[in-house]
Amino acid sequence: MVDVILPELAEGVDKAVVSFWHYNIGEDIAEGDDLVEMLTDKATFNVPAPAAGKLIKIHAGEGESVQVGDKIAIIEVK
Amino acid sequence: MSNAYEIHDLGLTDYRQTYALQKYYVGLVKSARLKGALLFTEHKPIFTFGRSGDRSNMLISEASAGSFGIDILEVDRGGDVTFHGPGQLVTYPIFNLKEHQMDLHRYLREIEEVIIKSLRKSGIPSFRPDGHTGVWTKEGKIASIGIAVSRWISYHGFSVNANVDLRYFDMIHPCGLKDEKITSMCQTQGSKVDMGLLKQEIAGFIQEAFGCILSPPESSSATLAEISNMILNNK
Repeated sequence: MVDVILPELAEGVDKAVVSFWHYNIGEDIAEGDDLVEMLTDKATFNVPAPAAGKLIKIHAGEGESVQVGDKIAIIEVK
Repeated sequence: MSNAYEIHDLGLTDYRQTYALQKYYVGLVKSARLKGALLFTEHKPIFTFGRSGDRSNMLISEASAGSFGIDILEVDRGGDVTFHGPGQLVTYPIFNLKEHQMDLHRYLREIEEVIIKSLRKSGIPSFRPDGHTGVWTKEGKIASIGIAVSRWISYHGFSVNANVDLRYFDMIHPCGLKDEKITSMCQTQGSKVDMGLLKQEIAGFIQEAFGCILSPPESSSATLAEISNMILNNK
């Protein structure tokens, strides 16, 4: 299992809003692919999948605010 | 991999075609086949809605927009609604932000500085009010920014109102701001802007800010229009 963590996006920015998930639970994803789009100020930021595997858990739904460093998803590594 | 950042002056383009081209360049930078790219263009008239876009910020009907020849599109940049049209210089930096501090807000502030310095060269004083993104003169907002990032590669970018017809902005609440006054370089300085010169200034300050060398591609087996058509047709 690999946790997907919201990375630091900018100095002084401690949270971002989930715009949408590029993948659904149960779908396979390749390492580095855009997994979830986050919104902050005038920017959208796509969080890349940290590992290849199956997306098994999403911790934050679309429109929800997430803190930098929070777990946002879990990928089951094959 | 080529060490230079490619610079392209696309002229007047269809928004969808140029968006496809941006994604093509994002792919090249992601796969390390290119260090980066800078695209200059002017778009045919279009209202684009960013991820925070609210349709009520468009003050005319879609049918009316169509009758004025204005396209409408939802896009994956940050921000609300904006207008693009002839006479507005749109710049798309496709940069790897891993080489530029990996900080979205710093990137936005650097772009604002590039715009402010370029306007200053034309004798137009401008500024960024605290807490806002974009560039203003005392007559109103003159440049807008909306970006997207994928694997720390930037796309979308910024637009500077040079000679654009400002009446289009009366049809929207630009960036969702209700009482926002929009201005242009032409209106501020009282004469038409030399777009070639403006592009030179912007390219120069981008090189300075990002420590890159922008140069036209050495050779290309396909034209940019052919590439973007190929991408659009394969969808």
